[in-house]
Amino acid sequence: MEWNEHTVDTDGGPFVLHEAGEGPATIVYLHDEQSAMPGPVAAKLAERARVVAPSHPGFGTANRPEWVESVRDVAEHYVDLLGALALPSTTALVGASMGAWIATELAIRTGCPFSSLSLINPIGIHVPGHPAKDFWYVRNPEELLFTDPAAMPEVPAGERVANEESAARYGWSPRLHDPTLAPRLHRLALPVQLVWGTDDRLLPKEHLDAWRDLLPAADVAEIPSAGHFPGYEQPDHTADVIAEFIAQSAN
Amino acid sequence: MKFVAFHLMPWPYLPENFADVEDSAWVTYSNQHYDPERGHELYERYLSELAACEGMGFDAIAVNEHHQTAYGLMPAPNIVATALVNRTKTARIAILGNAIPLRDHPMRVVEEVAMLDVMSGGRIICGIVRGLGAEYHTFGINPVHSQERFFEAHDLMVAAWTRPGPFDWDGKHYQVKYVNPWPRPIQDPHPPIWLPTQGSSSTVRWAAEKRYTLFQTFSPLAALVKSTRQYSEFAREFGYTPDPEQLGWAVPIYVGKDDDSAMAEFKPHVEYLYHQLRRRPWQATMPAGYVPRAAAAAVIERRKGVGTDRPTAEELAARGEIIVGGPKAVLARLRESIDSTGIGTLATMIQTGTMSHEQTTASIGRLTELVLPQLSGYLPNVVAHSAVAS
Repeated sequence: MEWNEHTVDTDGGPFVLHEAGEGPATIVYLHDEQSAMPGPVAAKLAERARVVAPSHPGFGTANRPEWVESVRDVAEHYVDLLGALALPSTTALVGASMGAWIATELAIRTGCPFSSLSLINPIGIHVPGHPAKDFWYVRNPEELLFTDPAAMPEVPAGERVANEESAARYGWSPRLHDPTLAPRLHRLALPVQLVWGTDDRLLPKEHLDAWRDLLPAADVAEIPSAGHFPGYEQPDHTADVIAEFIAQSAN
Repeated sequence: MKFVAFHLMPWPYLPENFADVEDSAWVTYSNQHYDPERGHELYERYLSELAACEGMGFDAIAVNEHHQTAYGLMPAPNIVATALVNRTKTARIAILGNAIPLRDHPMRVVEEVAMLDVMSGGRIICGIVRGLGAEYHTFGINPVHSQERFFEAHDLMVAAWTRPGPFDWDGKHYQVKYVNPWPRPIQDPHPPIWLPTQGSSSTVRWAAEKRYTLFQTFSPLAALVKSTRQYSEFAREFGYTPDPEQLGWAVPIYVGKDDDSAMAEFKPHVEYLYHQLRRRPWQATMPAGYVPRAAAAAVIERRKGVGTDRPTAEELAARGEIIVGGPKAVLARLRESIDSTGIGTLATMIQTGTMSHEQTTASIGRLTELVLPQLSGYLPNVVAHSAVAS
């Protein structure tokens, strides 16, 4: 499966975009912090839809304007990309982990011009008494992030340090959340799906409960035998539940 | 030569099997293991050991800043410096250094160091550091901003001390409507600025440009040779030849009666420092974004090893990272190190963790009576240094 990687120039600066697949639906996929590439779940989705996936500013080789310092800034920056892409009104938005956080901000910022929003093990909200575990102060962070550390994607050293730096830039403090996000979640006026790798060791189960409380109409799809990144550990199952939700929401 | 007495104020009570059962002496090792009663005794002992170095041939007494660790008990170096100002009359007090990016606002450091300088009658040396990687877990400061904050805090500090106030500061990380600190430092234009570092070439270049004293810490002799050579080359680029005193080295030194007894006496204590007190996971040494991408990518394969190696005292001595022996051997080793690097400022770490007061005092006594006087006025053998540098 080949991604067509190209640069999109906008008034707000250049973006790195990956595109693949075709089909009745268009999906904007926002990657997690493991890789600047869309990853295996996006590849599965591209077997039945057109997938458009930017690299977040600072990740991989993507440009980061100097003012972009937070997830909220990233979403603000993506307004320029959406303007340049002129996507159809049936576009679905999907994101994983930090990408899910960015997707949430983007939907709120743009007034939800998407047919649906799928969030895979999202970070971004504060759950009092149940903080995310800290993968930044352990010897073997992959053991927190994957049920099978072998599922961790191979990423070249140069890209990996860029991704790590960018994840820290957006997530170091407050740690993996923005206290202003939860009070704005009611603005998500579109179908929302929470996809959850049930063996997540990074986020306690209370995070899923909190998202459900904040988004009572959301659909929930649990993915067994997967940790924080079900897109790598169970790409088929994860893609199936997302594709099904996108199809349902389009009707 | 200028001599500096230096001390980490370490916690000496880690259990013997610490490194086998605990992952880190930093950030996560519970403060329930800290005993304030013992801490009180330690401060009294350590402060008097440092203050006693005045009048023993040392030009300066140095303190530093570390957070949430058994490694060193001086999270607020300006407070320790204040105690030493009160216990001394003539020695310079070198703060090596204030971790300026870790402060919410550098104007605090600007004020505190100026106060110390005025109170001490101009005896302060102002070292500035970024703070170790682990320390970016202490205050929620983003390691990605470490370098930017360091340089901006430095620029603001020097401006606050040298430009007539009040003036505006509109930086990326700090904004002040009125920069106008009272008091101003007594030293003109401001206390000397030293740069403790492990010697990345961009830092060395910046120090050379500013003519700040570069202060290499915890490094094998080969790394010191490299950074001092770089400094001299950069200085030439900037059109001057550095004074040897601009090149500094901090090194654990132990002087025993003779070589064999010295190694036997020092070995458990210096290994306590290297094996126990410095233990931490790789992410604590180099958190995401703490160093430029190229530097981080270059060491990515070695991550797992960081903080797990346990060099023996013999290995450390062989690579010139510590100096240990009888007075003659220590003197010879120091001359050799000075000649191969051109350093003119030598900071001797006089206590490495578990050394008793008696042992510390005995080693300092031999060092100051039998070694340092032989070096006082000693200048690096420039011919030898040029030969190394070419």
